[in-house]
Parts: sequence; structure tokens; C-alpha cells
Amino acid sequence: MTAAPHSRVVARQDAAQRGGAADSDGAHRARQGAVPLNEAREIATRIANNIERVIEGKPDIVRLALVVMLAEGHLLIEDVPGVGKTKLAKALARSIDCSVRRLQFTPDLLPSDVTGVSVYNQDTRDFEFKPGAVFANLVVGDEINRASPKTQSALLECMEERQVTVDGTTYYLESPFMVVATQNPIEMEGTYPLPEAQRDRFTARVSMGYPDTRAELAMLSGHADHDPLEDLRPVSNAAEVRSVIAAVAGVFVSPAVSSYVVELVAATRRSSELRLGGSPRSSLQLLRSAKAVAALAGREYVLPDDVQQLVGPVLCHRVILTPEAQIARRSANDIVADCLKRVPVPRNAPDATAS
Amino acid sequence: MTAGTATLGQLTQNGPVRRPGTVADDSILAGRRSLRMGLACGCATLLTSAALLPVFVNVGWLPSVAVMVVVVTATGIGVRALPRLAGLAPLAQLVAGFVLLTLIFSQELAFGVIPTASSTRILWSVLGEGLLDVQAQAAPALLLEGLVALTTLAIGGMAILVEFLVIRLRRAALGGLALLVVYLVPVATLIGSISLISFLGPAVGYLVLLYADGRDGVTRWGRSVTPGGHRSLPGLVTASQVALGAVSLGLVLPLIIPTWPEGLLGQQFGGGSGAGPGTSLSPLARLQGELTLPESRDLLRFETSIDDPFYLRSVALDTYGPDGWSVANLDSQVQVAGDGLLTRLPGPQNLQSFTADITVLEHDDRFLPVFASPQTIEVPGDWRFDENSGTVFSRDDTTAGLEYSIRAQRPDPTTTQLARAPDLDPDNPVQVDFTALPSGLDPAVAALVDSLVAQAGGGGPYERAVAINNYLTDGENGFLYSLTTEPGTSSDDLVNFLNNKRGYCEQYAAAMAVMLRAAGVPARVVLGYTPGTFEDGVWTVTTDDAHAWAEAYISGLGWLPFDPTPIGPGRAVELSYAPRADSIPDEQETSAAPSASPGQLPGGPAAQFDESLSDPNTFNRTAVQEGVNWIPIAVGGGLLLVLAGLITPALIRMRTRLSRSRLVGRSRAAPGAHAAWDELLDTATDLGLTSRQDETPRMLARRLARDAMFDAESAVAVRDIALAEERARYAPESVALARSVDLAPPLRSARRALGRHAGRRQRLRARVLPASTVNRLRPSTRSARRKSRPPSR
Repeated sequence: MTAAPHSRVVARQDAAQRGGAADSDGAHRARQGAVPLNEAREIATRIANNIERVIEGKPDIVRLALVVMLAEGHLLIEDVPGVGKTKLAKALARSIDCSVRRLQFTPDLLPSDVTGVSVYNQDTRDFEFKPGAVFANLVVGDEINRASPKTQSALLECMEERQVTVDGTTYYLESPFMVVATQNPIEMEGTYPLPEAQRDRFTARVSMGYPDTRAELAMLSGHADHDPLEDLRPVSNAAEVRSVIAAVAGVFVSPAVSSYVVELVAATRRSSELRLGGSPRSSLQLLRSAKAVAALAGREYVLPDDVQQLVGPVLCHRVILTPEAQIARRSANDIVADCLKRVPVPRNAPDATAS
Repeated sequence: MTAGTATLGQLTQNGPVRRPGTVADDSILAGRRSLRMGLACGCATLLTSAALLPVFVNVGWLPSVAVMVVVVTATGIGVRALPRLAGLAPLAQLVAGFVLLTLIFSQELAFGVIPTASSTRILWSVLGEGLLDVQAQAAPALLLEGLVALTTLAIGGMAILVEFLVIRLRRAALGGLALLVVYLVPVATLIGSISLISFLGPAVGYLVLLYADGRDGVTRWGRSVTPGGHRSLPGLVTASQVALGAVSLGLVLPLIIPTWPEGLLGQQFGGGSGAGPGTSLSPLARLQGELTLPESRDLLRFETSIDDPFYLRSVALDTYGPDGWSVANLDSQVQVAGDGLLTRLPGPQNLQSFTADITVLEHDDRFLPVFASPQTIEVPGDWRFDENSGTVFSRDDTTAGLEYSIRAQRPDPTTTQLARAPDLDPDNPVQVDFTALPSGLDPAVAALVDSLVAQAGGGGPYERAVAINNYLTDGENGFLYSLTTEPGTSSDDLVNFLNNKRGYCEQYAAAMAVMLRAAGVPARVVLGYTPGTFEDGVWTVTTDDAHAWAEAYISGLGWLPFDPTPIGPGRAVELSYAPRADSIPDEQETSAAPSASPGQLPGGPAAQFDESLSDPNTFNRTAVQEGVNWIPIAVGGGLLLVLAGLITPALIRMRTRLSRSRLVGRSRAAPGAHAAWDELLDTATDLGLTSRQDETPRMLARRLARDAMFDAESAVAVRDIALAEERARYAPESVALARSVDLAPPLRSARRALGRHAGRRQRLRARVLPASTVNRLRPSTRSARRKSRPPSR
């Protein structure tokens, strides 16, 4: 399935000289339009409530999806079929009045379908860029592990750098930009599991899990005749989300909490049960999402509590277990939880970071 | 699966590798172990028996003991080499040891090796003699056959026991207990400090045992593989900690536990058979000590043909060592019952012969109290006379219930005779034996003696002896009678006594004898009894009459007694040739006569008494060493120490709490919040609610509220404190300051709530032994936490 052309795609054909400074420049811009924290919280709550009209009984997952969005990250939803992975992605997209693209990953999907392609225009006698599926605020990539590795890697650049380079020209993506990818861990035949590099680019991975009996009953009675997704109306827009993201960026992080994050990630690297621990990128994303959690709680500073509740979703999909741990049937979750227990909660900033 | 094999490969890399051994391999290993451990046990036993070196006078016992250990060890190794008989090794060792013992000590074996009934009987009687010797001898003991046999038997038995413990039961550490038993022998029998070899022998032996066992413990698993080639010493830290603990315990425990006088076991030559204290004399004269005065008991009653008998001698002490005077060697075959005169006093001189009939009342000793220079003694039993010391003793009999009579001679030398008496020839055995002094005589004593000799004007031995006697008896020199010596600044008790000038007869006699020897006059200390009280023609000697004095040898005259002790004139018998320097001639007459009223003290300057004494006449030889008096002090001090150690955590906790609550009241900023939080945490810890290191303040607050079943108000209080702590830690300062609250009321409420939840016992424990402080004082928790982290890859 190829992406349809979309009128709202913005492709700024900036010259290469702006490329390096694009990220910090963007952050600077975002902070200027920051809303006060209580307002940010109100907006986030509004969006969360809206999503929960569709995804019932999973407030934690919904909140985590929001946190990832506000931390300018990407979300990987991994679960068995039929638990509402796609529905969560769609509900998030619909709650915000912004551009949304849906990309069904199949083995024959080509990288150009993701990024876009230059087409020769006979009228202008020039090549014209036809933007791909990533040119949207929210990109829903369904069954991402079914695409070939080269197509998956096409997502790499745009996810991390928020830009697309085609034929030597760099196109910037609009903020907010978020990739919500789903993946089915059960059906492995003919799939290409995401490589480590790509997994590392997702801020968090969540499993939907089955709904409890009550929620499932409610779903049967309420959603039997029609799709609630149809009724969902946007409660916010891209500009508002941008301002909330700016507010999140302004949340205070004490040196103690920073060092706690570093210690936690370092603990996964030291663990004897892990072949690969968390990357420095994971520390950055852990701290960013912790800020989002603090902002969602209306708090202007980050607590170790915020970090602790994010450690599982943020770190588990990045680590690789040693063969011994695999044989011992240890899960990444257990091992990361062990690491968490081993790192003492900081009381004061260590001298090294204070200076 | 490749992952699986990789795992196994990795696991086997760390740590000892078990070699895949066959049965033959195992039996070879077992054989090597038997050989190595057997040799180690033998070595340890031999080294340990070195502890007995100071117990005997020479090393004559060593060969038989060494042969015994070698035979026992070799038998063990040999029998264990036969796989089916390995379990019978101890039995075989017993048999081998018995044969060897018979071979050495009874020599009546059939075909040279097989013990017979008669040989066994001989061995039995030899061992029986040994048991008697143990009772009879004081350390260092003479090498009598029975004693050597007994020692050989004991060491052989110990060798078997050690091997059984170490090889059969694989408990090398327990083997140390068997070695300890041998070490206790010198500890219990020797007086004074134990020589280094007594300690080093067993200690090194034990180390050999542990080392061999440690190596054995490793090799049991195969050859040890140390990855990377470098050996780490993980046990070093533990070992040093154990050593530190043991040494400090060794230093502290003696202060706390009560001690008893050393040499308690076996040193009492005539350990009275149930006769009670004071009925016998211990053949020692120390230069420091303390006397206790038990109830007075009648020991002897006698009648004499003269009306002013001199003291009754029990035993002469002829060897001076660091611990005072003792009997070096008492061995004589001269039977008292034999014909002939026991002593021949050198003549010509005035001699006064007299007789005495002595009836023993409660006296019970292996020394027979006799008058000096006995000619004949009629006494039942196997009593021997030692000509060198003039001591009458028995190995088997005691004086209990005896009636005996003595004919003795009393020299009455004239002043001219005395003054003319020359020094003995330097090679004369008496001169050599009785002027021997240990090399380390204090220079101060030597100087004092030199000055006294100079006063004597270079006169003969008599003049020198009188000068020394005068020095000790002249009241102007400040010597006083006291039941206790005072501790001094010198390690030499003699110097301390001469400086402090306080002591009882033992010190006076001992000091005088030393000084006499230093002045070149042959001298010895004599223990015995003053004649006691005279009533209706009968003298009665009580325990209070035990006494010590010195004897000096004057050539041509023999041994003459000198008594420098300032005892009451009612007891002292004045010697015409050695008058007390401070006695007034008028009273000399009366003092020579026995006092009619023993309870009353004749006044006068003749004797000066320590004011602390109510009745200085009473005197008993049951000397109690220093240290006994220390028991109450040590126990009290130990209790105080323990008490102080116990309440220290509580005091520290109280102080911390006070300073924290002051801080909470004063500061609403970060320090106050931290103080409140710490106090809450410590209170929880004291009450048995522990915190985890990965718990954030609000998590802990929630858990406390749940675990301690807080009511709503207390839960809010705890939450307030947690939130304040959180802000102090993680929020920007402006935020923390803006929202700061007074934490004193919430802290009070939270503490109260925690206390309500805890039981009475927990509350008491929190107050007396607060866990928070105790944990903080214990450094191991921190290091343990560090260790629990996995090593970095």
C-alpha cells in the first residue's frame, strides 16, 4: 500500500547549512511557546480522557502513549493481535487535530513509500518531490516487523532526526512528529524482527495486554454495533501539543535525578545477565519522558518516582539478555527491575555531577 | 544448542575444576591425603609437646615421647594404606602405643615384642608411681620414671586422638582442642609467665594442622585453577578481621572474667588432703603478695627440754628466681630412721643439745617441722633428710596424726668466734651453691648491698650479715610489717619491697637472703613456725605462727638463722648474735620469754605495725596472689564497660534526635526537611520497619502508612514529611522554599503513630538498643551492600 499524496505535508527545503542546528533550534522555538504547567496538564488530561473513550480499562497505557508524545519520542506497541494496538494509535491520532498517516508494513513495501520520491514533472521540466508517509504529525506504522529491513531502516533517519533526505535534499518534518508502530510478537513467520538500532529509536515499548472482564463486557455491549472511533473528535491541535511539549521541556531536573538516571542505565550495562545494556540515548529518552510524567502530574520538577515507573517501558526493549539468562527463563523485565532495586535512590547530587 | 555449551564452558572456567578421576585415581589421592595429613598430625603433636619443656627440669623425657609419636603416626599411615583396614587405624595405633610403652618402661616382653601379664603389671605400677609423682612434685618436675611414662602415654593418646579428629572426622579445627589440653599443662602448673616455647609449640603445631587441612580441602576438588595466573587472597580480609577480633577479645576478656591464682593446680607440694587452709606450707617465698587471715587453728603441740626453743624449720628454699625463692631440688636417700647422726655441726663451738616431743594436731604436710640441726628424729613413716637444706620430707607420708621426737643441737657461738669467721673458699660447694643469684639482679639492690658492706668495714661474713640485718630491722629505715605488699614502679619485686618497705616475713626473709648472697654470704630462706604460745610446759603452734626467716652460713659454725621481720616480740625469739637493731636491751630479756597472753600485744617500740592491722600477730601462709583482689574491680569494671557499651547507642540516638528536632524547629528549608525525614526513617528502623535503598520518599511514606496502619491524620503527616523531603532533594530551591511547611507537628504525630503501632517490647528495644544507631556503628552493612552488586563486565 502506497501513501496517498497529502495536501498538508510541509517540506521545508532548507539548505544544508541549517541541518546541524535544526534540533536545538527546534527546541528553542518550542520553549518560547510554552504554556503554563497547569494548562499543559489540563490539555494532556483532555486528550487522555478522549482516548480512553475508545481504549477502556487501560489508563496507564494511554498515559504512557501521551508521555511518549510529549517527550517527542516514538512508541512501539507490541502485543498479540486483537487487543487494540491499532485502535490506540488511531485514537491518539484522532484526538489531536493534526496530520495523520497510516502505513501498513508489508514485505513488498519500499523505502520510497515511506520517505517519498522525486518524480519528473513535465510541466516544470524538473523533478518534483512527492512526500512519503512519514510527512505527517502522527505516523501509524502497522505490523512494522513485516517490512523488509531496508524499508524499516528508512524510518530510522526520520524518527531520530525528524528529517528526510531524498536525492541529497533534506526535508524537515513538522513538530509534533511521532511514530506509533505496532508489532506482533507471536506470528514470526516471514517477518523481519526490528534490529537493535531501530528498537533503540523507540522511546518506549508497551504491551496492551488483555482487558479485564469488566472492560471486555463493556466493550461488547457498547461497541458491538458501531466503532467508537467514528465518534471521536479532536480535542486538541498540533499547535497546542507543541506548546505542551515546550512546557515539558522546561520541567526542572535536579542533578540528583540526572545522576539517578545515569546510574540506572549504567546498572543495566553492568548487569551480568545482560549482553547489551541501555544506550546513552536511552538515558536521554528516560529523562525526557520522566519530565513528561512530571508535567502530566502538574509538578515542575522530576522525581525518582517518575523515572522508576518509566524504567520498564523505556529500557526493556533495548537490552539483550545473555544466553545464560535466556536459559534461566529470565525476562528483560525481571532483570531491569533487579537493576532498579540495586540502585539507591539519590539523596544529594554526587560531587561529579554537581561541579 | 550452542548457547548451552557456552554456558557450561563459562561456568567451569571460574573455580576449581573437578578432574574426571577414575577409582584408581581416587585411591591414590586418598593415600596421599593419609600420608600428608598423618605427617601433619604427627608434626603438630610433637610441636605441641614442646609446651611441656618448661614443666620438666630437663629434656630427658623427649626421646620416649618422640618415639611414641613417630610410632603412632607411622602405624596410622601404614594401616590406612591398606584400604580394607583403614577404619581400624586408631585401634592399631592403640596397640602399637601400648607395646611401645611396655617396651620402654617394663622391658619384660615375650619374644621381645609381645606384652605379658607381668610386663603389664610392671607398666601399671610405673604409671601408678607417675600419678603419685604428679601429686607430689612441683613444676619444674624431676624426671622420675613414672612421670615420663605417664607423659609418654598422654602424648601418645593425644596423637591418636588428633589423628582421629583430623583424618577420620575431618575436623582439623577440633584437633586444636586436643592440642590445647597439652598447652594447659604448663599454664596450670608453672608459676609466673609461660615461656614463649610453650605457646609457640602448640600454636605452630595447630597452624601446621590447619594448613595441611586447608590444602587438602582444595585438592579434594581437584587441582585449583586460578584464571589469569594471579592469586587473589579473598580470605585475607576475613582472617585479619578474625585476628583483630580475637586479639581484642583476648585483651578485654581477662579484665572481665574472674581469675584465680596461677599455679593453682599441682604446685602445692603438700596439697593438704582435705585438711583445710593453713595446715601446710607452700615451698615458695615471694617478694610481693598478700596474706589472708583465716580462722586460727592449732597445728602442733610440743614439749622441750629447754625453755627458749628457736623456730621450727619446715623447708629451706635455696633457689632465687624472678618469682622469689623456691626449692630447686629435693632428693635424698637418707632415711631419717637410719643409724647415725643426721647433722654434724662443724666444731669446735658451744653446742646446746636438747630434745623435743612433738604431737601433730592439725598439721598436714609433706615437710616435717623440726628444730635446726637435728641429730636424731624418731618418726614413723618414710621420711628423708636432705643434708644440703636440712629439710625433712616425705614423698608418700604426711605429718597428719604423727607423734615424733627430736634430739637437736643448738649452736651458741660467741661474738669472737663469729667475728673471726673467715669467708669460705670461693670453690667451696656451699659458697658456690648458696651465693648463686640470677644474672639480672637490680643494680639498685647491688648498690645498697655494697653500701651496707662498706658500713661493715670490710669485715667477715658475720659482720656483713649483721649489717644487712641491722638495715632491715632498724626502725629508722622505715620498714613496717604489712599483710600486703604495695605495687611499685619497678618490675622487680625485690626493688619494690626495698623501696616501699612494706611486707610480711616472706618478703623480709627473701630480701635478706638475696642481700646476703649479694654480699657473698651463703644464704637461704627457711619456712617454718615460731614456737607459738607456752602454757603449762607445753608449746602450742597455730596457723598464725607460720613464719619465714633467713639463714646464713658462717664458716666454722654452720647455718645461723637471722630473722629480719619486725614481728611482735611475743613471737620473735631474739638471737644473741643478731640482735634487732631497734630493740631496747631492757626488753630483750622479756621478749625472749614467751608471752603469756597471746591475744595481747606487749607495747613498745620493738615492733612497728602497719596501722591497718588489727592484729599483726596473726599470720598465715596461705598467700593469695595479686589478681584475686582484682576480681571485684575487674568484674565491676567489666560490667561498667559492658553497660557503657550498651547505653552508647541509646545516648547517640538521643543526641541525634535532639539535634534533629532542633534543626526541624529552626529551619524550614532543606536542612529541616532532611532532619525530619532522617528522624522519621530512624524511628521506623528502631521500631523494626526497614527501608529499602530503592524506595523514594513518597513510596516509603505510603508503605509506612500501610504497614503501621496509620490513621488518616498520621498518614497525612508522614506524607507531608515525605513531600517536603522530596522537594528539598529534587525541586528547584525556589519551589522548595515557597512550599515549605513547619514539619515539627507532623514529625511528632508520625512518631507517635509509629510508636502506637509497635509493641511494648519493640518500643523498649528502640529506646535501649536503637537499631538505626547500631546499624550505623556497624561498618559491615555498607560493605555488604557494595559487595552485593554484580561485578562489572
